[in-house]
Amino acid sequence: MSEVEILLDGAPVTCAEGLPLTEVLMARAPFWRQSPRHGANRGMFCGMGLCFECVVEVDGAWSRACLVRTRAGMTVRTDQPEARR
Amino acid sequence: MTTLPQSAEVIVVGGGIVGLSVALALAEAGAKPLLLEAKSFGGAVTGGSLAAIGTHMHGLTEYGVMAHSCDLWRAFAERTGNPFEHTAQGQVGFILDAEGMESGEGWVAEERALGAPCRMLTPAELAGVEPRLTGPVMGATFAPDTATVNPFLAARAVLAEARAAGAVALDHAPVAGLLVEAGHIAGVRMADGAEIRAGQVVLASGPWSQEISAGAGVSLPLVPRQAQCLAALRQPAGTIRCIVSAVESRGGVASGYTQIQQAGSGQILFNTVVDFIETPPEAKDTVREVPSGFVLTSIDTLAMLFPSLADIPLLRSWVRFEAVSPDARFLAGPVGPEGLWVCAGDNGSGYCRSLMLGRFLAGEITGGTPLPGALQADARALYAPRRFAQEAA
Repeated sequence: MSEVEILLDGAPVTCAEGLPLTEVLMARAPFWRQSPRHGANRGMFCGMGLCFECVVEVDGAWSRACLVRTRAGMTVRTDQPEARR
Repeated sequence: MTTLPQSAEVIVVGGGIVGLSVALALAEAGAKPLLLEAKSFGGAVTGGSLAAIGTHMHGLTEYGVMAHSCDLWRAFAERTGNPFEHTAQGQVGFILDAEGMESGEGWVAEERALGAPCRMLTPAELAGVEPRLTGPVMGATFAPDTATVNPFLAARAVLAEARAAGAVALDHAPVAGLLVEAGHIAGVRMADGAEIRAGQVVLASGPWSQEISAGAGVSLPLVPRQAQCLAALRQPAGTIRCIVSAVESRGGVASGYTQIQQAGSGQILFNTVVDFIETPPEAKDTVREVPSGFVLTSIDTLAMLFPSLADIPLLRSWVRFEAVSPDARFLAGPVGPEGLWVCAGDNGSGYCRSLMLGRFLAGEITGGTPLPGALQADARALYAPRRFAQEAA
């Protein structure tokens, strides 16, 4: 499996090609999805495109991270406060 | 990433409930189908549906094949131990005015003449069937045999059965176009350019079917229609007992259809198609917001019918895209070059027809296990994709 570089919240990240984007987010941006009450980090919810809980910006458009696979040069933005520090 | 095979006997494009049902029936008929799903199995139209399984108010011409489809769902639940919440909770069609009463009585009389167990309910009888439906309702139609399934779990159950019967089903395997050689289908071209050879291809890609077929010069009269659903926070079991629907288009939320039910999880689900919402062609590939006007009128309708639910918290809303055909019937059968088949055009109610359509199409393609009696010929006449080509000619 080949490695690719993606841009995650402005920082280059190297990962395997064709991974579910949620896998990269959980490993490299675990704050990407948070509970509304305590702001605690959360994983995937439905994982199949229905709940829209994992929406992030991919190449400028809202996308469900669980339906997106990693590819070279993709730009991902979670826009979470943690990502801006 | 999964390695794709280079060839297959039959390729099914689309892993929603329709494509999965086609793959299951093909595998059961002894063909070795390869099913290719662009994203997640049941993650688009299927998972966003409320999955009612019934014949009530679906039109009389399809009654025979639809009743058989309901039998197939019942039998499938029994055979598999029902891991997908198949529940025959019945369906109530609420009536708000004299025009609706006339329409409801018409449906009931015609369906009863075909053997359906439906009947009319007086407001007093309705109070016994659906106690919290205390809004200004004049009466109701009642179809005690209409069921629901959990759309996610049922899709997974069909997928598991299809694989057990010999089908190969791959997700995140987007098909971009069709291969045609000398007037015969030759396979599919994947989004990454890879080619998979096959002598038969079934397009079961719902509102995406037209985009895939267009490259091969095959125009399908399917248009995506935006539907939206709401889910309210979990309520005690039995809060809403039946599927509660509008009689014909008289739902209170503009036109289109209304369907309210309580899921196995306890959430109250509310699905309405308002008047055709103008959406750009790529809308179905983007994340869409549910129109706020829809949310507000839906809440008003729910509170009008079920006043005691007026204060329940709304949990979430979602948009899905149904494939609409000009006469609101599926396209199922041969289309375009030799070896190409289509099974799409759910018009918002694909779940109840899916197992029947799978059997029908597998019967047409392989000659094995067709629908019983005259139903195979009925389905051929009802769903022939070429009915539109003939009209145009």
